[in-house]
Amino acid sequence: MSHVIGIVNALFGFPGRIVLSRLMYAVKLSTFSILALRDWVRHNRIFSRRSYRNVIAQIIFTGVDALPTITMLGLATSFIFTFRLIAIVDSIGGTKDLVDVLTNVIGLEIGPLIAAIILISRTGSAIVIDLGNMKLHREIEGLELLAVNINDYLIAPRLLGAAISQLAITVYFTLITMVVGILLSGLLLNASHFRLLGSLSSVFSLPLLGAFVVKNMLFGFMIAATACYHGMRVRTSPTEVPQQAQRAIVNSLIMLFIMDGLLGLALLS
Amino acid sequence: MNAPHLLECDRMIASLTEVEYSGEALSMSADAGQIVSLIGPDYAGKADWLKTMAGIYYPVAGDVRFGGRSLFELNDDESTRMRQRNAYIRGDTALLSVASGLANVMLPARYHGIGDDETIKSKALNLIIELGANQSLDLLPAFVRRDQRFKLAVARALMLDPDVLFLDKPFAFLDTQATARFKHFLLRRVKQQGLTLVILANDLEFTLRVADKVLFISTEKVYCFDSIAELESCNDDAVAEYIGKRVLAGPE
Repeated sequence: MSHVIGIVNALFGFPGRIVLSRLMYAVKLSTFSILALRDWVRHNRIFSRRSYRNVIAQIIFTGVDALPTITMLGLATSFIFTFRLIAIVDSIGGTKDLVDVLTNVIGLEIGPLIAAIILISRTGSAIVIDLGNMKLHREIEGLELLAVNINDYLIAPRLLGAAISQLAITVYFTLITMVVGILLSGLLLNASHFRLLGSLSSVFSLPLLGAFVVKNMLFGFMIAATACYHGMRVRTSPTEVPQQAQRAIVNSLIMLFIMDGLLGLALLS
Repeated sequence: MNAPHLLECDRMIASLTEVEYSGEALSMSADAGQIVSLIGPDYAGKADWLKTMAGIYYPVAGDVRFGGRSLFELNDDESTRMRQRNAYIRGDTALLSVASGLANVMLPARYHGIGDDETIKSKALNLIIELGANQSLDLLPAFVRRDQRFKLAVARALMLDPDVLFLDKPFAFLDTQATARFKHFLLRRVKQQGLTLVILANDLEFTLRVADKVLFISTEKVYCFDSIAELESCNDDAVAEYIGKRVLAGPE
């Protein structure tokens, strides 16, 4: 009997443990991010021109340097998603709602998700390796001994830079994907689709824009926070760097989809 | 009332990471322009004593005071100021790998907003030239020789004009000529600018020549000698054996 109870406990306990560990992880990550921002604000970096040097460096790496990759992916996605979506909706006769469908599916869902995945693979992994190696080679210890606050100097600029960059690259990516997709459909399917370009701007209401901005900044912030958190967990061995990078990528992806789902529910309600 | 000492260890026992200490606590003080040298047998935890004196580790007993303020009384802002006033450098202190030599040296002053960029740059260049580390200004630390990296680390720490400089095996990566030049630089700083030096170098010749106070540290006892004469006349076998052995062996 006790054996059976043990098996039942194990079966029901397993999902419980998973949920609890995920919740604990979310709490630790939130605390880590809040402390980083608190230190940034406390050191008056929000009003200091000097502090923006690090934020701008992060924006250049995450946003500007990634433009060629994003352009290529945007062009590919314009065919895979936008063109195919227009073709499908056109074939079932729903042309009337085409612009709404495009803005909701491409603008609010696929654009932010693909941009976030690019950010995770490119910036997220780079941040973990960067911070992990700094930790490993005791560069961070050297800075702390000079009274340099690591949260303020290394973490917060990465969080803010990644949040701003995620928003910027999503705008760029979504524009390419939608405009090129519509142009393709106008050329290859029906010339009347060119008119969709003119109606695009009319569907972007203020709440929709707000949701777009909040969602992307949250994604960028979460990705950088996860990467920084795992980078700072490296202790003594070089083998920890790839391990933490892998954890950061997997955890970022899981949280990205959870956040996307929760934000989707919030938007619907 | 007497002015507080710049650095004061009051019945302090260091936080040791690799050895156990069974002796009495250390009481000592240092003022501006003094040189305190830590000596003793290998694997006695001298580096941990130095770190505890520098306020990097909390002592397991007693207190460490900086300018009369206990390490335990400092809040976050005061701790930050204390770190700025007390620089600690190891022979292998790492520079920030993503910044050039010059940017590394300018970093702490820029971060703490000590002057405008031009002032900071000119101060950094002066220090770098004085230390003889000017061959590596635009290079990332990975492309810089180890001795040059160490000199840049020293310049970086001195950018904050600390009152006390704690040095842990500073000559480890310097050749004979560079060591002599660096010692000369340190002594000039002590004499001209009143820098207090707390140094762990295992270089008995240097200690006997320049130290105002000597701390002898082993796993069983800690002595604070207020003069070289006091050290040389100590009757303790461990001290006598150490001095004799080191004099014969010469500096490491």
